[in-house]
Amino acid sequence: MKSILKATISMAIIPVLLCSSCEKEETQKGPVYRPDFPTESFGAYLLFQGQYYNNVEGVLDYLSYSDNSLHTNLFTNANHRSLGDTPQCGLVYGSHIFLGVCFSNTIEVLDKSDLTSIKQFNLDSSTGTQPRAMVAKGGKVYISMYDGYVARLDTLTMTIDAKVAVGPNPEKLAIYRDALYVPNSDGMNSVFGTTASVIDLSSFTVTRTLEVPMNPNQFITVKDHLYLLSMGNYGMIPGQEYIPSEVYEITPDSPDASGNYYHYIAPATMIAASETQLYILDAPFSALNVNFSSYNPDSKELSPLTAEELVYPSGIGVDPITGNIIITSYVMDGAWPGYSIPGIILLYDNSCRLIKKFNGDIGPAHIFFDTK
Amino acid sequence: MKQYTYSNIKKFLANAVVMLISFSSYSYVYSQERIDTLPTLEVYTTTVDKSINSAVPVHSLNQDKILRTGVTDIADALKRLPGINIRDYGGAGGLKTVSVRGLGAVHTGVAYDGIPLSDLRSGEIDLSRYSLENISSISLTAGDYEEIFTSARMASTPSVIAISSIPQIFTRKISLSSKLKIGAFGLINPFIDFSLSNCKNLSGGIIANFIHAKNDYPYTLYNGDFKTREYRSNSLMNSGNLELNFVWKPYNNSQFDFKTYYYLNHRQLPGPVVLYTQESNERLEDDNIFLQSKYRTRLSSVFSILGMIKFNRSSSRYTDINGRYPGGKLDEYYLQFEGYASSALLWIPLHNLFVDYSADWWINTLSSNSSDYRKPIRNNILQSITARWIFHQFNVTGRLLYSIFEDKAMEMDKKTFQRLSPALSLSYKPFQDYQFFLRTSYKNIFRMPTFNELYFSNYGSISLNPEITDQFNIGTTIELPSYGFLTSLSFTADGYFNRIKDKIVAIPFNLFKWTMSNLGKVHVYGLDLTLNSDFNLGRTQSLMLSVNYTYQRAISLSMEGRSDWHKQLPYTPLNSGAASLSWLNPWVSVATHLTGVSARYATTANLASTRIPGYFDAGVALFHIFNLNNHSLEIRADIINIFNKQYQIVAKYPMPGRHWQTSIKFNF
Repeated sequence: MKSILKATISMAIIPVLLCSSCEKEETQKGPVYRPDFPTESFGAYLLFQGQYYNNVEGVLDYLSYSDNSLHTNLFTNANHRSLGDTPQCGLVYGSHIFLGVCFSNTIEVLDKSDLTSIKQFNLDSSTGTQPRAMVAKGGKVYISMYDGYVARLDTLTMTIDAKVAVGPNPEKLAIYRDALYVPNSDGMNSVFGTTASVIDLSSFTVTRTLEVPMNPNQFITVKDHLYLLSMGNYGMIPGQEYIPSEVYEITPDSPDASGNYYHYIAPATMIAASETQLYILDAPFSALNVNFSSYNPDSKELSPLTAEELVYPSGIGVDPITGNIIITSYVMDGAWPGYSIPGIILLYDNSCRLIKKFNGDIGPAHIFFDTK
Repeated sequence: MKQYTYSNIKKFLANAVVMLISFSSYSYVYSQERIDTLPTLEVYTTTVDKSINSAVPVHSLNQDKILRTGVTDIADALKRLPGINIRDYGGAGGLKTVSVRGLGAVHTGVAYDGIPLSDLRSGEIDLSRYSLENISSISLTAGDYEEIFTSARMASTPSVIAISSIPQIFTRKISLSSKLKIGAFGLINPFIDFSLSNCKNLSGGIIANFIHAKNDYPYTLYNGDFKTREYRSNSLMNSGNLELNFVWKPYNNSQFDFKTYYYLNHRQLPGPVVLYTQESNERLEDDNIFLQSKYRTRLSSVFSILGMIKFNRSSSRYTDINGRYPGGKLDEYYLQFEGYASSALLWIPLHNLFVDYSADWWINTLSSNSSDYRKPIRNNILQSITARWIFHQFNVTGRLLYSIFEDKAMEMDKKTFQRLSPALSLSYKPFQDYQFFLRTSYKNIFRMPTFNELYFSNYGSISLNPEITDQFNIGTTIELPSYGFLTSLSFTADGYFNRIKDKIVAIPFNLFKWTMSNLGKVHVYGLDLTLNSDFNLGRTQSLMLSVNYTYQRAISLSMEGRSDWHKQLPYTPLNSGAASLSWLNPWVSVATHLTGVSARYATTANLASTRIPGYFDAGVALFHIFNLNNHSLEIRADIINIFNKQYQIVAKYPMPGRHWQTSIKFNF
């Protein structure tokens, strides 16, 4: 039960990479990959993992900005087959969409123009299995694999050309200063992990292992800052003190006086980033205490936000171009959030004013943006 | 859910056939026979059709009926009994648990030779371990256990599936029965039953059964517009059991039974069908041994006593190899012990009044290699007093069961629970000369939370209370006398209302953490119908028709406004049933059979996308028995799922399509 819950559930969002300050550096170093520097955004893709064992298929939906409409079940409509068991992560890169389907052990590569699958990777021990999260840069997609690897997919040859072992059960990774930061959640263990692996992008080897707060789940960058969501122990583990879910700033190059590379910011259960702000959602226990705020990396100030119609968040994504905020929310089912019934999708503008509310699906897993 | 919810199953074996000690056979009473002629075994072995004269619904199948109606395996046998909803993960190695009248598998008692089995970890008994070769009869009691001279524990569940093993033979010095069954998907099943007797009061024997099955059956996988033919993989099974039996009858009305039972099942688990990948490395190894002894004697015309002891050890190891686990492997080992003692006293103060007092004590322990468990121990003390009074055409039975449970788990205070549970049943036979009965019954009982629900650190909650059930039944039964070509015709109809209070359900603490709580409530409205008839076609041929039908409306009433409010419980069909038609003749007898189940939902909210379509499964059995002096040879061939319907009982677990099996059996 424990393992299934942990393995099938994923709430937060892949960091959306935008690092315009790196542009000059990149041009000096080598070729520029245009997909690394999107300038336009047309909408958002939403992945719902469904409930595979109950016959609820995972689906890919699209929220179009042009007419604020939601298009559902796009993968199956375009390919006449199911996406598979528990889709968990995805991103748009260049003219392709990459989707990771955790328990089916596949990565689907879609042509962005018509969403047809041009390639299906069947993952095995040579690539690592159970994709959990992905980021892209420099023509490569990096995928964290739940069996303890990060795989590298070359988008020109469309092959998985390398993998590197990291810690147990890696989660949502991010690229910061030419290195991959991989949170090793050790989420299948009775005591969660406290390390993060740092992978040098050019050599694709682990160069460092950082000590971080318990159950690291998601790295994300804002400007030249790196943040980490560590989810603690979810409470209620007998014989263990309750460790809450919190967000930290990580300074890999400058430890504090006690030798730590992490600095506490706020309680958080979900994070997302725009070009300039870190967004922090904190909803640890019930719909009664949901806090939403933005955090300014420079001034280090937290500003509370009000998200209209939000019941109990299940996921958040912030558009790197427009700053639109998308929050998926459970709806109440009796006294508790309805984890196993369809929820809602809330679209806000960059000042957190509600634009539109949509009916969602079961098991929101990931939001990523249709950038170019 | 992965198959590691598979439970390790404890097995008990008491003595010979449970049916033998029925003190409730109305037919004797109605025919005004003297009660003290009852306790001889010879009298009991005459078959009295309890499905007709019992005040609580009882339905049964014996080996003869199993053969004649073309029953193919234990799951098929259970489907021929009304009110049963079986959850079957498919194939010979697939877990099979049974819910009776909408109450759920945790409320179903399963008894082997008169002693209930227990699995304190999951609370569910996997019936897949029983192969039809090993059993002489299987019966379902939906309500308070019909027999009164029995252990108190037999009354501790809302319903009982009683399995009786093969009885020892006293009529021959040496008897040998051997059987070989082979079938599709690599099934090989040799069986031997050998016994020796002095033809007076001693009999001993050995029974051995081994099953090897590959279970690599094909199925059709539908994925959008694509349809492919796939095979189940990683589903090899090796299973076997060995029994040593000894029966001694020191005096005329006394019998001593001793049984040693060993069972092992090492199997791979194919897991659910997952699109685009076939990887499965799950394994389950179950081992079980028990020693059991039973003694009963009639002390005088008014007193009889019964004593039973049992020692049981069962272990279960689940392993899975996958990079996501710490160290790349999951290895869960569970070990359960049970020590059990029971005694019962039957007092017959008047010719029409029977009083039984029974007292049971047993202890259960569970240990595991997992740090998530707290090594719980449960002490169980049950006492019951039962009275049955028969006057004119009425038969009234009342039972009071007093239960005390005491749990102790590491570093925790003792948890005790006690409760008095009543049961009452009444039957009325309006006409002296007709086998026509009206019956009604009520039973109140509860189940203790399982060790998983209480002590498993990830979601267990030590503050749980028991689930309480109430059952009300009203019904009628008719058996027509033989008339013309109609040799026999019997019909039963029962309407029932069941409810569960304080049902244990998982409540989210947050998305990652769920905990158990007594917040559920369920109401079940149902109807069970059965029809059994024999038609004579001349001196050597007959037709036999058996039909059972069940309607079950089982709804959740946990909390108004929740998505499951007034919705049918998951995996509970509204309509289900089975029918068989057999032509028995001196050449090759033919049995055709059909089981059907209407659509079910996999989710509590009955989401449309989680609907699992209904199905029909039809089969044909051909058999013939050659009699040669004192020996006999039985040959049988079966085609199962003859229309090759692709269906699933549990979502993502396809059932086998059309397949065959054949057997040859010698009785020397």
